[in-house]
Amino acid sequence: MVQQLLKHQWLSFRRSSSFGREIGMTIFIAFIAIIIFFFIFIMALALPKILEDIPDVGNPFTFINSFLGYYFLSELFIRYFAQKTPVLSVEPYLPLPINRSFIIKFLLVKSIFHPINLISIILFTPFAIQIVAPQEGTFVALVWLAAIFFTSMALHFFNIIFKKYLDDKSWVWALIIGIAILNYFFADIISLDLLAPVAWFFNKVVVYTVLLAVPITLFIVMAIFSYRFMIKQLYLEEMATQTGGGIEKYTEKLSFLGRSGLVNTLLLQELKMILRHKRTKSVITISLFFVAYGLLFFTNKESYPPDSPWFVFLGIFMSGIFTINYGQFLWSWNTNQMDFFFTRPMAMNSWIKSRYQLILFSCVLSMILSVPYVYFGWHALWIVLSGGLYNIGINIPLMMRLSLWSPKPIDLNRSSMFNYSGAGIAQWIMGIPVMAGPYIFYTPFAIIFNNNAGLIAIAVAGIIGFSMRDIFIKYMVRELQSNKYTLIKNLVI
Amino acid sequence: MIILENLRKSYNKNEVLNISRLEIPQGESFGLVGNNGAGKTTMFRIILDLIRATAGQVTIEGNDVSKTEEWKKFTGSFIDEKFLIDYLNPEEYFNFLAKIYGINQTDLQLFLNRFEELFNDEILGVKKYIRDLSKGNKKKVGIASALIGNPSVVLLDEPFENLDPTSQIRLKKLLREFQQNKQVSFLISSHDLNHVTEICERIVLLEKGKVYTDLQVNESTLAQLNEYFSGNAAVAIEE
Repeated sequence: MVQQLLKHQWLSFRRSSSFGREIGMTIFIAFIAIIIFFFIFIMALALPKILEDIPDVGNPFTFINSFLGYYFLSELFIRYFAQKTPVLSVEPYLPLPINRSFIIKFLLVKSIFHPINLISIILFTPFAIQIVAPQEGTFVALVWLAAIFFTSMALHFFNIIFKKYLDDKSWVWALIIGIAILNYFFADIISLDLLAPVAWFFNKVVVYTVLLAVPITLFIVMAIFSYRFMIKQLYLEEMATQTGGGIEKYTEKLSFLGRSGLVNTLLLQELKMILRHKRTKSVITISLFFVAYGLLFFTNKESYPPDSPWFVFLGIFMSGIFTINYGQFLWSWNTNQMDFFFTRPMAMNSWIKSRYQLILFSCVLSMILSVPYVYFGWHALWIVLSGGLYNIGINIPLMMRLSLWSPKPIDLNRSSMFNYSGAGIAQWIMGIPVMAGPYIFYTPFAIIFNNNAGLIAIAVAGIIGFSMRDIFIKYMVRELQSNKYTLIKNLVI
Repeated sequence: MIILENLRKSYNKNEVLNISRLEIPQGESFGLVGNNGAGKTTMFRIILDLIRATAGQVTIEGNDVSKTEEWKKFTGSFIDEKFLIDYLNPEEYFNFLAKIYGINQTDLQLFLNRFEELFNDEILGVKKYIRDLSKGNKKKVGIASALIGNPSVVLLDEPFENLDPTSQIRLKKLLREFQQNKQVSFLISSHDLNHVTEICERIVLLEKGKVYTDLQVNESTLAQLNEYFSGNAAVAIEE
């Protein structure tokens, strides 16, 4: 039976409509991933030597342990973006005599076999062999390694629960930001590190090896939670999107927009679409959350002096997250309405303009929300402004055009419980010109003159792009017309 | 007036549609029948320019559908649920359509009043999104959305499917009203031979993508169609 399910999953991948286009890129990305793993391994091997060279490290073992807290946090971060949640188009199997518990167990176990789960092992085994074993003994080194591994696996299941259940609830993100801010203040003002207990635990594990039971229990608990939770979601009414109880009412307040012109009506339309589906709502929540991303950079004055070129990336990221997250699937969101938009006498021009305006509005909103960063200094404001202007002028058109390339169908009505469709390799690749683009403008000016000149160059590029928006919209209309049949054909669930 | 000329559609060397010439004059109600896979929906989708024909062209009132968008202003259509915006409730949906077609609220209300019988209090005033309506009710919304905006050509793919018997009769009545008052050309595909012979003046039977026969409807048409579908295609179908 397991074989059957695996075969079905393989076939659905192999026979998907975008297989031919994607296979080349997938192989390429897999190749890159292997190279990355190789480098991680080499680095891990060299870690002890690197540590020797850093002054006043003290005991390398305790030193590494003190970083484990940050390691797990960043692993969680990576998992959130890179890890695919277990997906199986489950409905066809439900009425068959296959145990639901079996299906869920299958999905959960299968999700364990993901390259990401190897990272913790690859990173820490060399260290365990070279430093921990000689110091504490082989058995203890194994226990230590196992503790790290099981914590990582507990994070694996935690991430699944988080992504499926919690990531569209705004209070969760507010809580995370709250804790991050608190941690900053504690560390800065009281010198209390919230992550210290993690380091303490791993230091103690080598002494009281029985403590290994803690990560193992955590792992088992998380797995059971995932299982219980996913089983409940198998009922069809749970699978249909919950609109959060009651009909969404916010857009009624905005109905004045609908009275003034087709572009505004279409904008309102799209807003309704975003607010009435779980998946698009979580895109909004994430975008708001990322406005807080700057806290990581601005508070860390040593690694990121005001002149650092990293800030260019930050400026783009903060106001542009919605552009990227929403824009990359711009046409996919309309999978269920494609036929509507192409059979009504609706000027394509108005439709595209309304979408442009929607994303524009999100950029402006994030820019306004980022203004408080001026607390860290005027340079923060320039970064926010230049990044935002560049996003408005260049990244929005770029994203809108790129999203036409290899769009995947997304059925918004399926709860993202069992359906995280739409994200293919193409979408990841799209991120590259968006993030790297501004450096084309920034670098020459920053090198010839200074950092501020680079920022101004980016802002000017954005303003020029913005002034050309009408030309761009006309261009998009032509592109849409010529891509029309492919779009309709591909966006079929 | 709709003209299909030399229309052909193949998927990977598999020809699914081959119509040398089909002319539908203005105001004619036209029924399309055929077995599953005969090419009815494909033909509709090509007329609506949602699929690109492998060869040939379709013109509506002289407009080539793949070259301009003018025809969309007077062509209404409803093929399947993807033609609806399912995250709106019916009122919002009709208001949105009214906006697109430039219909004011009073005219919209007059229009929707004609559907009161068909809707049967289950569509308007009900706080449900279209996606949560039953299949039959979605169909009703779709049919109304095809008729909005004073179209002169209306394409309906299996409009009677999923409707309860009362609604089917009411729909027939409604379609006849539109036919008489507005001189609308209906293109209706259906598996329900009774309904289609009652409403349409002309019936085209597709078999494996080709026009098998093209009849003007009279009293014996229903019997002839039944003969065909019973597998006695050899029995001559008279023009």
